[in-house]
Amino acid sequence: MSASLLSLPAMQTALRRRALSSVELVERALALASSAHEWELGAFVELTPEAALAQARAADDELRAGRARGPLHGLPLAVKDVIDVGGVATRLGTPGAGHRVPSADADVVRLARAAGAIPIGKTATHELAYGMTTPAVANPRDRTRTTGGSSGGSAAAVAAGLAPLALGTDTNGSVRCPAALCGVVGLKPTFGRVPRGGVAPLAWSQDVVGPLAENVAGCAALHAALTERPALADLRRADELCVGADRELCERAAAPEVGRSVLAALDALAADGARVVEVKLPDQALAGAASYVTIVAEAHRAWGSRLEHGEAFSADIAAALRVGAQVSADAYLRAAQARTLLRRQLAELFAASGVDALAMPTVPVVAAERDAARVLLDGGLRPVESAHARFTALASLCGGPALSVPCGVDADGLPIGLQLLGRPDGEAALLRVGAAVERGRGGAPLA
Amino acid sequence: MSSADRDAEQPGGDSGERRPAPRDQPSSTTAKEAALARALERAVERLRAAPLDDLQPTLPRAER
Repeated sequence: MSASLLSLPAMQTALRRRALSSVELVERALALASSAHEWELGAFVELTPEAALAQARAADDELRAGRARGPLHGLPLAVKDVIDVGGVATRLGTPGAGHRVPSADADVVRLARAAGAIPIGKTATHELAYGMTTPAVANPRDRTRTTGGSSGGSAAAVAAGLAPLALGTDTNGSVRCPAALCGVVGLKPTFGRVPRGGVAPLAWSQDVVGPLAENVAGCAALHAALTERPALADLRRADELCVGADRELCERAAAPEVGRSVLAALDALAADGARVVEVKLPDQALAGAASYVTIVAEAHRAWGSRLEHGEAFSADIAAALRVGAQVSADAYLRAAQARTLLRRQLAELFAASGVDALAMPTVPVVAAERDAARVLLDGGLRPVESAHARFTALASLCGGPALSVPCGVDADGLPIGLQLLGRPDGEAALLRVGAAVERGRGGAPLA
Repeated sequence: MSSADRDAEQPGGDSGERRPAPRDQPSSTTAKEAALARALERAVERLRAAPLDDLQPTLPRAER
């Protein structure tokens, strides 16, 4: 039996009942990830078997001694390669810029380890986490398709069953977009609540670290570890939840199959006992413009001096960094004003409607061909990058939490994600709604 | 030795399997940069068209 044949709940049950040891689980995950077929997927850039197996042996010793650390105890974890793992090279997806071997774990890796998770390797990232396609990685659902990005390696690792849990980063949708296109769950936590020590910066005012997992419960458990809070006791209550939906937006601004799938999931939510009310969402195009200006300027602030000193970036990222130098103070300040305006509008919307979450597609299209620069949307061809960020920029700009949960597949079996935006620190409500969406489609991972 | 070569030789700290670092691809850098600059211009235009002045306390004009 390979690790990919075990669901996350089955792994947890097997560990708890000692039907399977953590060493066996980690060995299976490593063997699968390094097999020729899965290695060609490109999800991992490096595996760390010695360190992983040493930690797995310690985890088994603890279980034998009756010391369980919680729901993550003994489970393999994939870590995006912009996040430091002590003693393992951080390469950021660049040809050379910023490469180093950190002596210590990033805070999030330290917290995940403390909760019992076991890092098994580093996953591929769009260079510097600055892009939404992750070209080096194939989508496990269809290897001719993109994973989305920038946490494409982490999403692919979870979707392929190489690891049940992964860490990603999200500055403009980089956890949620690949989660949606690969058919897994991804959470962008509230800005500032998850520590960023040991994580390579892209845009200081929007960068967050977030969990990806096969199911909502796994995402909730990893998020609890990263924020040092107790895991949610009950994800099953949906009857007191209220979700706001902009149906016109779903029908107008997403591909037809995506819009239909999201609306069907909302109908299923209502049937599960949640209240679904119609709302009008703030201007997402304004959010996209403000987020773009902010990120371009802040990425130059973070990496421009390294470019000037001759460190090696790809031609495309070097061009993006140079363009960042062109952002005027006036433009950056207008973006900050747009953030203030949109935050105010979101707060007023939550207060007036009383909703716990705002629902919309995560990405308006399904996964495009890997080499596609444009996708069909709004009756024309649109750049892939901006299409992928159409619905994710708002939460990134405004700082609130957002969850992507699989809600269906298109006619070709490509996954579709439903995105839930919450109030600041409203992750618990999002995870409960997400769990209800999961139940609505039978609770099983997308096959 | 280029910096990319030097960095690619850094020890990984574990004996695990790893991929080679991606190589820089010669491409139409100028065209890419121009396209990104146009995208930036469009975003700034969108911001200029937004009703953001309400957020900016304005000083009363000096009386003549």
